[in-house]
Amino acid sequence: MTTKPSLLRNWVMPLVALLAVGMAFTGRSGSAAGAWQLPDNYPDQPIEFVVQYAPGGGSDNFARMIASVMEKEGIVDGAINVVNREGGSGSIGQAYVASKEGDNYTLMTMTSGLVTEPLVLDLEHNWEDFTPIARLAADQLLIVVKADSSYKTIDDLMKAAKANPDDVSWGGTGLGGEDSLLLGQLEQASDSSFNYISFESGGEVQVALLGGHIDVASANPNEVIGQLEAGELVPLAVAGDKRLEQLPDVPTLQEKGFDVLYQQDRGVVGPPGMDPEVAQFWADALKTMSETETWKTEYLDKNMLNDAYLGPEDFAKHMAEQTEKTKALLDEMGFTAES
Amino acid sequence: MRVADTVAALCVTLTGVITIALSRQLPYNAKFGPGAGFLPFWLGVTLVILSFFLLWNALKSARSAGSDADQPAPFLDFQPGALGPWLVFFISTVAVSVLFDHLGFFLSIALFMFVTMRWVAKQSWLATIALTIATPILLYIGFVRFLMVPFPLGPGTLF
Amino acid sequence: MFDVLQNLAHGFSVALTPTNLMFAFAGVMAGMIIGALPGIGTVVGVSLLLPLTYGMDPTTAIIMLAGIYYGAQYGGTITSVLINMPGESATVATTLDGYQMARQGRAAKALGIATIGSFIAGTFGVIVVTLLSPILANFALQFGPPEYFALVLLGFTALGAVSGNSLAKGLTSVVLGLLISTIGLDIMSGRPRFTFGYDWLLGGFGFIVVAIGVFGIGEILDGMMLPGGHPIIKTSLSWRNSIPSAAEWARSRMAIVRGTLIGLIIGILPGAGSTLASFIAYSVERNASKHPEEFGKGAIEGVAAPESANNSASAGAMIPLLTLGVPGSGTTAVLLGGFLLWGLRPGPLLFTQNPEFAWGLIASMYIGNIMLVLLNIFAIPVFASMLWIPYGIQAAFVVLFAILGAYSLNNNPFDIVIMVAFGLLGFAMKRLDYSAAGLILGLVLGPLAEKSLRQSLTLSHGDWSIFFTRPVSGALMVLALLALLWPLARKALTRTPGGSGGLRRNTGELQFAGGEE
Repeated sequence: MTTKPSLLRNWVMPLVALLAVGMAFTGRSGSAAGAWQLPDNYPDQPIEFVVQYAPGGGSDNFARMIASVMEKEGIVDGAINVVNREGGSGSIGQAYVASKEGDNYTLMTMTSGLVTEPLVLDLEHNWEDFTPIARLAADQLLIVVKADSSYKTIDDLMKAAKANPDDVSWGGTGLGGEDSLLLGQLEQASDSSFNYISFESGGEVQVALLGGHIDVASANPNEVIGQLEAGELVPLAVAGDKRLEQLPDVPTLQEKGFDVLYQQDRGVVGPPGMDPEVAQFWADALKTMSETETWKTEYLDKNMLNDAYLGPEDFAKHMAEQTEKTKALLDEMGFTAES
Repeated sequence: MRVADTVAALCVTLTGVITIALSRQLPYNAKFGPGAGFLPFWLGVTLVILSFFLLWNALKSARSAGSDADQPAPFLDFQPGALGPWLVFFISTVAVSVLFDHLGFFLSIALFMFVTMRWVAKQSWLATIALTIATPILLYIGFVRFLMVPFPLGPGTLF
Repeated sequence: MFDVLQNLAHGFSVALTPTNLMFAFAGVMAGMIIGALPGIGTVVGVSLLLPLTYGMDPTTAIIMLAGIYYGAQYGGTITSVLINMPGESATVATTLDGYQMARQGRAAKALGIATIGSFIAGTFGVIVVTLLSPILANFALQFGPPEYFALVLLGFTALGAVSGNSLAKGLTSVVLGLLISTIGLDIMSGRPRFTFGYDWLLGGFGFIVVAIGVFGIGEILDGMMLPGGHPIIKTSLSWRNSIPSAAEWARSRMAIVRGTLIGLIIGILPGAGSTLASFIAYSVERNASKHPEEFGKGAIEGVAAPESANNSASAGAMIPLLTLGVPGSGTTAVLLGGFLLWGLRPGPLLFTQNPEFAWGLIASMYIGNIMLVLLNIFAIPVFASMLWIPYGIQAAFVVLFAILGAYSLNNNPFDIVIMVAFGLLGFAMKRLDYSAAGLILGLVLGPLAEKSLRQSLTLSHGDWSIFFTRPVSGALMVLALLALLWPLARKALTRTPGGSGGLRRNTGELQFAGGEE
């Protein structure tokens, strides 16, 4: 290599570097300064709708459905881009949104995990860090067995669990997750003890149940609809406060005298310090959307969900209640947050 | 090579010891069967045992080495003239990985291309500048426009 | 049987409409190109391209998506062979011999046999999916936690194959991989392990981030120590070059057959997947071979077997997806997401409720395979010409694609830093002759091994006999033990000391010493 272009080396390189640093700084500023006004044509920029879980999962489906119904029904002008920022049990996406303080163009999906996981895992961010917008649906967990199981009713199952503690194996996803919290409630309410087997995903639980490797499982309805329709799996009870419209013959646990209520919320939150006007804008838009026929047939019915709309204040109150309830439950289960 | 192998073996010992120590803080048993600390504990023990073999092999190979031909290449044996470009390349890679989020898509890719094309690939100034400008633009079309990956674009979007 | 053929014919009538044919081709093409970019494998490829299919007719969309899935699988092999950088775990085993072949100037040959093997395995896989889906779905259900554990043990018998010159170093790599796999949230106890309070570590280190780093960046840093990179003989750019000779075909024939069968059986099991299949196929081939010493040095069977296995496994993975509605791998999980978004629910009733869709998809898989084999034979020289690019430019682009790929996985900038950090580890391992493939073996199989072990023992209330008293699990356990003992037994039988002693590259001396005794 010759050393001819010393001019370039001495001048162009430093200049480029200077330019780079300068632009880096100018690029950083500009947002979050001064009072923000809701523009008439809001959203005047594309919205980033963050899904903190993998593509193909429940939250992903939820977010993409919202984006597509909003577009189809013309509720909101402008693009809603669904972006998956998964990893770390949702904490990577949550940290990302939490860092966007005061951003009015970012939304994030919410599940009950946002309430319960920080209690179990001592996470940096919990629901209080975000701006509540709306709850849209509640997943009622189902208790299911294989079609040829000897447990025909929920009473059969509970009798067996009481007679032989730890003998009946119960499959669910993750310890400290929704399935184990449901089971914890049930064990306390009925003074019984199951053998809880933890799996990675709802799909794995289903396969283990179908193969007869476990006796009973709890599952989100949308994970097992196919098997229920085919008659391979049979629902014994639902953990919500009322029966599912699509499964009118399946009793709730409360009806059967077990003081258990576990439903998984699905909602939308914004970054910390989102403008209240913007939060209200989205709460209204989501309300309009949740009342459309498309949303009801394409999302709620298909996934066996109940409509459970709550506006910003009620949503916040609900999450606060859930936090207290879960804390008490975890204490009784002997599960304390550890890092 | 003996030195590098010995150091590597000691690193393995250290990793094993740390793993054992950390795994003691996790429950070894669950209600039934092994708990969260079971596998890490035994992995740590295995690493410590393996490290003795590694150490033994490293020392033995040093002693038994007869001719140079049997000796494996030393840990860092740069061919003449390779060290400079290697260092430039290495530092650019580390720098671009750290700065990507701050400088953004265009600027970090352009800077990386500029430096590596000129001082590693030893391209002419013309080729260097052409690649520096063309690469971020082509990658932008492919990844951001077509695949819609939400990269932090950062400054330089004006290019 | 007749029903099936009639349905399939109907499926072909759906898949062969000009629109669907065009989108199948577009999918296959896009998938192959995305898969062939270093740093971007099947999972990332499919999830990036998924949004492109929104707004299409469901059947057309799924046909295109399946094309992407297949195309990316083929394309992923290309980077494994040419630059030793697997885009996904299922092609790690391919790098062992594929990259060596490339260095010997046989890159086109390696890609050729991979294509042919993939085509045979893929087509056979689809035939099996067509005819035997329900039966095989039942077979998959026989596998509970103890069976999975036994199967993973069988996978670990590939250890000898990946450990290279020194068994101790190979083992250390595998144990390190296992250790890395324990980082993150432990789902069995609901506790974080080795996360040191960092939330982002809860999900552990993604396989792709580790693999791109250890293989891609590690290899580049190593190669850069020589001006112009590792000596690599450039393939001549004629497509004829990719067709195996009669002798090579004779060597690969049985490898393809065995790989196909192994891949199919393991691919059907949800969660086990094509990685396990490719490693087991590789190790079986090495054990069955008359010249195991050539493995890892550019043996053509070492490419044929794992490539056939991972392709028939990806066809097999469609069985639990379609008949049970359960995704067997990361990629099929993304496909399932696509299905659900179209309002289609895979499961026992899919074939009766949406025959149009189900059979159209299956028919398109036949067509996709044929498209890919033709496309590949002619594209191989184009891809192989990558090797003609000056090494410095090649290296820079590999780093750029690695960075973009690592980021695209979770859209998380920190993954880039992690990836480069693993690149340094990979570089050190390479210099010291530790096996990168071993690390990946441990990393990929670790979670499955630990989870199934602990699930089994929870089921049995801590009784270890559960692994031997269940027939399938017991049989697999015996097989695993045999596979571990077989290399030793063979060595004893043939009475020639092999080169797997503790010393590195000193096999000559060892043999001499053995002769004296």
